Amino acid sequence: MILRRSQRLALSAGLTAVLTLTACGSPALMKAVSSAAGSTNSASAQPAVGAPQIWLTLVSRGVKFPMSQLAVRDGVAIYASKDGSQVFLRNGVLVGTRGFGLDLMSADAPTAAILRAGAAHQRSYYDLDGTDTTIRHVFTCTVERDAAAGNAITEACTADIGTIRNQYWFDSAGSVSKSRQWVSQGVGYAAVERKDG
Amino acid sequence: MPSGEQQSDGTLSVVKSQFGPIGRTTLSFQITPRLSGSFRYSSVKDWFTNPSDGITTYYDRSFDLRYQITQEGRYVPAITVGLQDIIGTGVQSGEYIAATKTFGDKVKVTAGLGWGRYGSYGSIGAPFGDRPAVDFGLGGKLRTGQWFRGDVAPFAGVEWQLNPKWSLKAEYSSDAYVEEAGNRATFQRNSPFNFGVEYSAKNNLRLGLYSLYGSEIGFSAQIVLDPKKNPHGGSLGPGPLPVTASAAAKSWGPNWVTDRGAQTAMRDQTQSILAHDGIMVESIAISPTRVHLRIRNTRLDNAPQAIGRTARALAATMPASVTTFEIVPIAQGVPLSTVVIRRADLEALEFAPGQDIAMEQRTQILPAPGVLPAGAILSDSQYPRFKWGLSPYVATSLFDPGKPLQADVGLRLTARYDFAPGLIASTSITKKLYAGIERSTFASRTKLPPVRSDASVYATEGDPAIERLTFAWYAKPGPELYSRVTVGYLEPMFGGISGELLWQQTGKPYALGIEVNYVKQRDFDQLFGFQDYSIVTGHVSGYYSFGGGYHAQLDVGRYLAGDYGATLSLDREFANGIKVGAFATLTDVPFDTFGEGSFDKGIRIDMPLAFLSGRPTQKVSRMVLRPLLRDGGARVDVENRLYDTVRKYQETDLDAAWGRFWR
Repeated sequence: MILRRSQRLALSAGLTAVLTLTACGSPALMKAVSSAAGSTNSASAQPAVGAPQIWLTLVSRGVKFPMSQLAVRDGVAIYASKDGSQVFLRNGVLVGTRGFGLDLMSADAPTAAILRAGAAHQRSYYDLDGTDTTIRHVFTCTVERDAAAGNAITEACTADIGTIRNQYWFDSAGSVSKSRQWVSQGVGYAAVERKDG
Repeated sequence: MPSGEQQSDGTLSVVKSQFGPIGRTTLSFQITPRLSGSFRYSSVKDWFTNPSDGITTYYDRSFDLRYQITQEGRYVPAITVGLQDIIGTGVQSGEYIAATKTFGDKVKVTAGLGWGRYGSYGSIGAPFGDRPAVDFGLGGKLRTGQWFRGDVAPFAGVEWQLNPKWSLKAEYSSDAYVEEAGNRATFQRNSPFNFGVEYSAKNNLRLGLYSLYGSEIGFSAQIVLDPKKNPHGGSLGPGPLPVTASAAAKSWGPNWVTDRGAQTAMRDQTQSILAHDGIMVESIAISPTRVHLRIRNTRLDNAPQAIGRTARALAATMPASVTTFEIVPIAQGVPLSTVVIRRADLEALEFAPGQDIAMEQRTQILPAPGVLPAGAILSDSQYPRFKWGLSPYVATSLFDPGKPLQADVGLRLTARYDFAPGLIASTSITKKLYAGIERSTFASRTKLPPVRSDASVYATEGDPAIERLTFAWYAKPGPELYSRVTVGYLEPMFGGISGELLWQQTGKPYALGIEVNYVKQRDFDQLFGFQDYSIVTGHVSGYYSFGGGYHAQLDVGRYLAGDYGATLSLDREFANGIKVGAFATLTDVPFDTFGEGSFDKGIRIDMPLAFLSGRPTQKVSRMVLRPLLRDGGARVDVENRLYDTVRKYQETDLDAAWGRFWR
């Protein structure tokens, strides 16, 4: 006869509230990173002054913001926004995101060389679903050069969840200067642009 | 009208509908892809004429089960068999078989056969014999003898999806509303044909307007919650610290192994990184090749994520020679498991496709030692520690025949003092700002000691109320053995002493527990006094995880009213912490002594606020819904029982939520 509705505070209520105030409103990652970097001299963990920057647009959410390079390891560059969300780019090809919701946790993605060579290939996206379970989506892809769109390389990929189209623009040195890439079912497309100067 | 379709797996929905005198609120859960259950609270106005208590509305609670025999294929329709009102008074009872087929992407046709309610209009015969009249007595019993008996009648309907937001419906109903429209004349049923229009306002809200039975206008509102679809699109909040390559690890000089100062500095740096995620370092022990770090996760709702972030912090602070990280999560001062992570795996898998499964396979989860390793450095300022909180609360009382929905609103003060690991004093005090719950005029017609049926008296008299005031001692007497002793005002209605022992192995899907309590009933004002009633109660509990999120618990023992029996609870749990379950208790109390409802049963839902907000928090909103709260099969509501404290960091639960290790 009684419906009891109590908000159980799991381990630590007051302390959590205090920390939330200090950590959530501020770029917590940056602080975490700088405190680590400041004392451990792991230069890779600090967005150096003058670190490369990108513009990131989450197309379906209509938001665009700058991100700074935080670390590079094993050929993957991690860029972080002011609020701590991250993207992982391997030679410009998206292989992960953190903090966008249903993130792309990891990806078996083609190299930039495969894309430039126009080779058909398979790729896998590992998305987080709403129950915190990783779901693998295997796509079969073809690559075309689109002269009409400024020599873009278009990667068209099909899987059980539908067809997606990634587009990459390469500079004269052969690296990706601009792209529009699929992230996940929850996030949609992200446009990445090198922010020069 | 029933349909052959089911909701998508795991979906929870609430539908509120009203037409004429008849209102229904239905909570449904898709238990498996093919099986669903519903709990319905219905009301019919003008049911009673000149009742002695002045209440003319009839309220009824009922429970349905539906099973889908075939899923829709190219030629095969979706076919579902349903049993309605299987355990209540039987007023709503009916059985059906319904088939639904989609044509194109706009038209859906449903046809079926119904018995009971659904066979009461336009019957075509009674193929399985007469429907026996059932005296429902106190309710709460299965009426299998009625199923698919008596008159059978066809029903049909069509739905036309105009566009993604709007749809039109028409149906032919085989429900004569014998009692509502006939015997009690609460409305006119002039026609079997119903028409409606429905609008999907958002992904999870659907509204409907209907013309019903040629005489009434009706409306409905449906709210749908899919545990797989986070309202904010998943977990937000900042990304993790990138993994530092051990080649780039800080040099701590040649003597750090023997230098307590250097090791203390490592502890403090690790803590300063982890503080941003609300993870507290309790102690650290560093050897040339291994680190043993004990942590308390105070914020992240996902346990593997807390482990992952801790491992990343260690990669940033540990000297290069430290190749193995032993992370020991602590809750209530007790170490729960040892998660062993190789630093090389962390580096190799940070960007690897399918990194979570690979990491899960390479991570070892071992029992946690009860004692600290030699040379451990404790953190300062962890013990003693005090924290408090003040928050608003809402307490509701449902299903009282006079006033089905009542609520108190007030403030709740909580405080907790940890003297040392596992030694905790805590309290919870409420003060009402608005007292909406009234003393029930239906209370205490009980033949048992009134251990629960005075709930409304407690609700009205406790202001301010000390809900809890306890001293608890948690310990780990063996590597896979946990213990708890709680003394004090354990819950609003009982105080005393409660002792519990839990045996849980880290890699096993089962656990065993035993609990013994000596409790005395508290005064209604919920201050310091006690009433005369006291009792020794206790249970042996078995817990089992079937995999796929299905979970069972069986408690056997003596309940608060002195009755002996068993409680079976079945839950469906999602890795994000959402739980939906049902429980039932049968004891040696005869049904007619128990009273209305015959035995204790109910539904419970845990909703983590992190799922609703997308932000990391460990707060969980818990709802326990009982059609009737009576005195048989009642248990003491002690806070922080061992199983839920311990299980989160055992292998079974860690594996289920492992997708966020790298988040």
